[in-house]
Amino acid sequence: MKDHDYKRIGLKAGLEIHQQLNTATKLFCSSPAELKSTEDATYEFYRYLRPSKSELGEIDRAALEEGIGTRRFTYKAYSTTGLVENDDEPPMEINFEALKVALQIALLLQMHPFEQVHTMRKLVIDGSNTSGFQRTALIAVNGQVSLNSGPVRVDTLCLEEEAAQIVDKDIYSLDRLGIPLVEIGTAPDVRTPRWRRNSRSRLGGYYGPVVSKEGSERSVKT
Amino acid sequence: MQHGDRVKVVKNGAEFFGILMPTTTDFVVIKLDSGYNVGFAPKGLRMTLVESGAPVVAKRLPRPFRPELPNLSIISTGGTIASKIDYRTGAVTSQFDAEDIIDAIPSLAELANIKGALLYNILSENMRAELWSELAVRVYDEVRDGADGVLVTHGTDTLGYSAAALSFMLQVPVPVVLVGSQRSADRPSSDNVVNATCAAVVATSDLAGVFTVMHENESDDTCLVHRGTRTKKMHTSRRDAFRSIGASPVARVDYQERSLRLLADCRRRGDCEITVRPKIEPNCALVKFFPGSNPDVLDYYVAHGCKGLVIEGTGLGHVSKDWIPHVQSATAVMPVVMTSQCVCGSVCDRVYDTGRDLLKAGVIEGDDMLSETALVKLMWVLGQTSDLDKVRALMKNDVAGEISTDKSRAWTTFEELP
Repeated sequence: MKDHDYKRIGLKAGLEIHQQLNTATKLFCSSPAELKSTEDATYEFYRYLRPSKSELGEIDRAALEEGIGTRRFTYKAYSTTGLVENDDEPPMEINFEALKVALQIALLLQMHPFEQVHTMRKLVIDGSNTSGFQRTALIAVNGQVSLNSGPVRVDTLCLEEEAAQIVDKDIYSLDRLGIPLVEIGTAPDVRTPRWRRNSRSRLGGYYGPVVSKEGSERSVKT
Repeated sequence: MQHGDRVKVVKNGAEFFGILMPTTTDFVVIKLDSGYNVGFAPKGLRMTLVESGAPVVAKRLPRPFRPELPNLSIISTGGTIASKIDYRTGAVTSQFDAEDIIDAIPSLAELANIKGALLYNILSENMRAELWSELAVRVYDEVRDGADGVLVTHGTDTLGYSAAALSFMLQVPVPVVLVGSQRSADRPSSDNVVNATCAAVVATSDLAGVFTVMHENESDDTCLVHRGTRTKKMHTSRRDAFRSIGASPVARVDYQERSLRLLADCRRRGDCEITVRPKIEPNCALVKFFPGSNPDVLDYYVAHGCKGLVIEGTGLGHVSKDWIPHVQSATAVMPVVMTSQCVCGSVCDRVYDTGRDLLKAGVIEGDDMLSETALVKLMWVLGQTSDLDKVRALMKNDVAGEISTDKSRAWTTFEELP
C-alpha cells in the first residue's frame, strides 16, 4: 500500500517504545545491570505468586487468569544476584543515574516532568517478576517530536524495571530483572508505516549515548 | 476533599484527573486513571472535586460450618500477615474477622473451621510484657472454648519474645502456633500464604506445645516448626530469617502436600490439661556488655527499681573486671542472669577468673538460653515468686525446652537438616 492508501483507510497508530538503559547498576539495587548466560547460574529457588489487591482494593483480572497460586516458578540466580532481585529485601533508593537519563530524554522530547515522582507497583504474576509486580514510575507527560511527515505527540515516559528473562516454561533468569527501562508512549498520531519508522528512529535517537542494551518497539496501538 | 475522592487537578495549564491519595508530604498526590501516582507542589495548583469516593462495603455471608474439620482459632496481634490497608484512607482496616483471614489466605478454609479475632492491631515492636499475659489468657480461653488449635498471627520483629512468653505461661494440650510474614501481605509474592497454611497444618496436627512456623529457605516449598523458646529472627528481611537456636527444629511442613515430618521429639495432643500462669514482672532489663562499656548502667537499673537483669556477656559469659563490683551491687537486690552474645552455645563461668568472680558475685548462669528467652523467662519467674532462691532454681530448670539437657549438642543453627 502507498502512503495515500493508508490515509484513505484512516490508519492511526501510536507507539510504545521500550529501551534498557546502560547504567552501572539496576534500578532499585546495587547489583550490576549485566546479562548472563544461564549456564553461569549458581543457585535456583522456587516460588508461587498469588493475585493481590491493588492500592484501590481491586484484583487485576489478567492477574487472576494467570493462575491462582498454583504455578511453581523456578528462578535462576547468579553470584551477582542480590536479595532485592530475590524479593527478600526492600528495594533501595531509585538509581539516580537512571532517573537523570530518563529526565534528559523527557526534556529532549519537550515533555513536562512531574514535580514529584512516585514508584508504583504494576501487578504482573506471570512469574517474570519475583515480587509479582513491576516497579514503575511515570516521569513526564505531554511532549512532542517533530518529524518531516508531521508531529507526533509523546504522551508518557515511564522509568521501570525490566522483567526477568524467560528461560523455559515457568523458568526465569534473574540477570535481567531490575535493569532500568524507559517506556515511551505516543498518541495515535502516526498515519503511515513510513511515519512509524521515522518516529521510532527519531525517538530512538534521543537515547543517544545512554543506550547500549536491548531496545524494542513492543507494541503498536491502533 | 478527602482521600478516595475523584478530583481534577490543574497545574501549569495542564489538567489531570484521578483519585486523591494519602501522602506524608505537603504535595498533592493523585492516582491517575492510568494507575500511576504523581505528586504536585501545592503552589499554583487548582483542585476541584469531581466525585465523592465513599467506599462501598460489600456484605458477606457467613461460611458454613464443616463438622469433619477441626476448629482453628486465629488471634491476630497486628502483623502484616493478613492485614488489609485501605489505600483510599491510608488506614489499616479495623475489621478483622474470619472472612478477612480467609480472603487473604483461602487455603485455610480447606484445613479447618476458622474463628478469627483481632486482639491487637500493633506493630510487633510495640508489644509489651503485659500484652503477652493478655495473649496467653486469650489463647487459654480459646482452647477452653473448644479450639483444636490456635494460630497467633504476629509481626516478625518480636515474634520470638512472644513465643517464649506463651511457652512459659501456657501448658497446652493442643498446638499453639505463632506465625508471621517477612514480605507484606499486599504483594503477590508475600510469604504469608505459605507460612499461614503450614502453620495451620501444625495447629491442626497431633502435636502439643507453643511453636513458631516460618519459611525454611528461599523457596516456597517447606516451612520449619520451631520451639517457642528456641526461636530467633536471624535476618532482617529474608523469608527464612527464623532459626531454631540450640535445638533442632521440631518438624518440617511440606506446603504442597500439607504434610508434617517430625525432626525432633515433641509432646502430643491431649497429654495434659490446659493451664495458664500469666503473671509477669515487666520491670526487668537486658544489658549488652561490650569492650570498654561503662558499668554505671547497672547502677542505673538498681537505682530505678529494676527487679531482674539479664547480662549478655562475651564468649562463655564474661564482662570486664571493672563490672564485677557493680554486678555484686545488683545481685544484692535482684537476680542477675548471664547469657552470651555468641548466640549459640552454653554459658560457663567456671573456666576463667572473670567468670569465677561473676559466680562469686551471685550471677546465675543462663546456660544455653537465648538472651531474649532468658529475659522473658526471668520476667515470668519473677511473676511467680520473689524468693531469690526459688528464682535461681527456676531459672536453672528447663521449663519449656529453653535449656538443653544435652549440653554437648553442636550448634544446630546452620547444620544440614535431614
